[in-house]
Amino acid sequence: MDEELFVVQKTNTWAFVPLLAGKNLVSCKWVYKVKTHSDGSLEQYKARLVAKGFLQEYDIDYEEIFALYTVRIGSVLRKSKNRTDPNGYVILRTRPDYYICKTRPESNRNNGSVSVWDMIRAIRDCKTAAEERAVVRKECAAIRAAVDDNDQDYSHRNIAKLMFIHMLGYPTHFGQMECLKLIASTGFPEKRIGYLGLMLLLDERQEVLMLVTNSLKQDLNHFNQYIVGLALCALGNICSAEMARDLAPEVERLLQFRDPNIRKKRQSTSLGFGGLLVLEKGRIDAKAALCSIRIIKKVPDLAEIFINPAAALLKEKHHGVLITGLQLCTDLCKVSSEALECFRKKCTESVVKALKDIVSSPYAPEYDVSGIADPFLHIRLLKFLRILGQGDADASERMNDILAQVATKTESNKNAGNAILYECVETIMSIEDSGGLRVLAVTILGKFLSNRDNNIRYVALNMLMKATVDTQAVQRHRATILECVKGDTRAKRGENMAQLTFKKPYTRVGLEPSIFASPAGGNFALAARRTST
Amino acid sequence: MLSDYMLLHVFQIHFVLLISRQGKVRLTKWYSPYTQKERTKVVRELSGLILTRGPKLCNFVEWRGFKVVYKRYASLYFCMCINQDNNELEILEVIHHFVEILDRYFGSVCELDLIFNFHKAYYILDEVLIAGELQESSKKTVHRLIDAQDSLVEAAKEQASSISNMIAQATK
Repeated sequence: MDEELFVVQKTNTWAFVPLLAGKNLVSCKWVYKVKTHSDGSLEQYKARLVAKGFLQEYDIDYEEIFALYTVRIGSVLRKSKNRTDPNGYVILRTRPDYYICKTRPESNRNNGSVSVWDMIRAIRDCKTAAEERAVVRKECAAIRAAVDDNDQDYSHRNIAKLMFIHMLGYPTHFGQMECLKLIASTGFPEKRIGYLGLMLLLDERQEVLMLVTNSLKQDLNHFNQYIVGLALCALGNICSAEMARDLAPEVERLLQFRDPNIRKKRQSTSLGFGGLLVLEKGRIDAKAALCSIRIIKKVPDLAEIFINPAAALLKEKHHGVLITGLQLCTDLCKVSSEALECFRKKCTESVVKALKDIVSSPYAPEYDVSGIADPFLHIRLLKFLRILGQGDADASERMNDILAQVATKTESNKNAGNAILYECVETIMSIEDSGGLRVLAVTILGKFLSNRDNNIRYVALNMLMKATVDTQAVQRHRATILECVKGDTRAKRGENMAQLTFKKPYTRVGLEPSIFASPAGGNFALAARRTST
Repeated sequence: MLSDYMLLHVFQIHFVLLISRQGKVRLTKWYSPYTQKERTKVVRELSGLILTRGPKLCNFVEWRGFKVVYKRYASLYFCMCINQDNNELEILEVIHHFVEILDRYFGSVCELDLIFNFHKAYYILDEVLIAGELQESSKKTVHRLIDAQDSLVEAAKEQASSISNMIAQATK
């Protein structure tokens, strides 16, 4: 039922209109009713909107059939009340001069341009693919014409339509310039839709993208923080290497800005930079060795300017900033060994402390996910510790305690907790050896293997395969693993497991050595072999 | 046939894909560079792969050296593509995080919400993920940001309509 109700609202059968001065408002009322089957079981809930008839004047509107209004529209309006209409009134107009409801949106009078919703509905109404193509072609023609006429009034609507058409898989390149125009305009709504269009309709390889660099630069310096946010978001999602180079100073400046909301965004954007630099390196490598010399010079340069601001972000208390800060640091470490050294020296303590704080933090509804305070932050912290601890005994030593604490204290009955444990195990396996911790990690994996959730078993098996685990520790879980493998090769449930772990089911193969040869069985075989040696 | 440099494991999430049970695309967001052609191919391949999977199987599909983590909510499949060495369980949480935010924004969200208000869904996604990385773990903050921007748009609209009214009055 809900779905049907939504259609009524979404397709603009009803709309909100301002109350005309001097006109009457017919107020309405909700009537709720529970319908039951003859045996008393619940059939459905009904909600009806009725107009209060006593407010009508006889000669004008008495004959109006209010049944019209009693469309089962209850939940629609209850929902819309929160957002669309500040007074919570539904305003209905049945006659042009009188009151309150409108049955059709105004859009139809605009020389053939229909609203986005109307278009979507028209497309959804199509029975065949051919019909759909026809509708889309017509719309595209209208939009092209509007673009050619330089019609500014509806360009935001046209872009919205194009995005939908694009999603259906039709070509929409003719709208790209229109996006740039919207971005260059001054209003927030235009910019918002323009940037969205930019991100959807263009990708970083298109030449058109270069044209937006100037607008981006301006918007990055805009006084309105939301506009800056839009620009950063676009930059983070699609910027090309050239743009990265042009705009890096702006982003770096913004990174040190005071306001946390913007800062966070900026931060993640520069992350995009870090990524793109690598991307670019890869591209050039593939092209010619000559260029790569230049690039190798360029890459560390750009990474360098982000090191200090990134380190500063780790001191941040706000979770969003901290999360993105950690991510940036992790990525910086991947592209520059200098950054890794720097962070290892300066930040290990503070990251360990941050993890301690979050592990022992009291219940915080804002960040709580099934009883755990911000699993996302947990995971980012563990990931970063992994990078710091890899190949450095001293740093590993310093994080031992907290890792043990996470491994033993995290609740493992929900996915969020298991995600943390999984990350923790991976960190323990990667940092420099500490026997006790590894045994603990393998114990956790053992528990994972006996979990009934296939997802959990999948990650546990994967981990056992790739990690260099102490055979002694694995030995203790031999029975569980073997059971998994056996289950895999025989039972129906096992077939699922095999499918989920490998691309091909290998139900026929049994446990004889031949499966070790097949690529699919290889992984499993490895785990199995480890237990038997 | 996918570009080699994708293999450099740059982003955590390569793309986000929402497909309906009928295989219709409801939302796509590409963080790694794919050409238009590749995109259609990827969507076709993945919907063939994911929609046919049994309900008891795990939520991860290995695909072209990547992993696709998916979760079904009512008639919609939320899919995210990640590298082999990423934390799949966390991605499940990210998906759920996104869905919860959508749910609160639309008031028990359904597929039609996302069809008719696809741009809103994109705005929300942009507040949750940038460059394939999680941006904000607090649902409240995301809501605050979205609401603030929505009201900015409303304010601008009102202003525009009052101006056009004034013009209409003046030219009468």
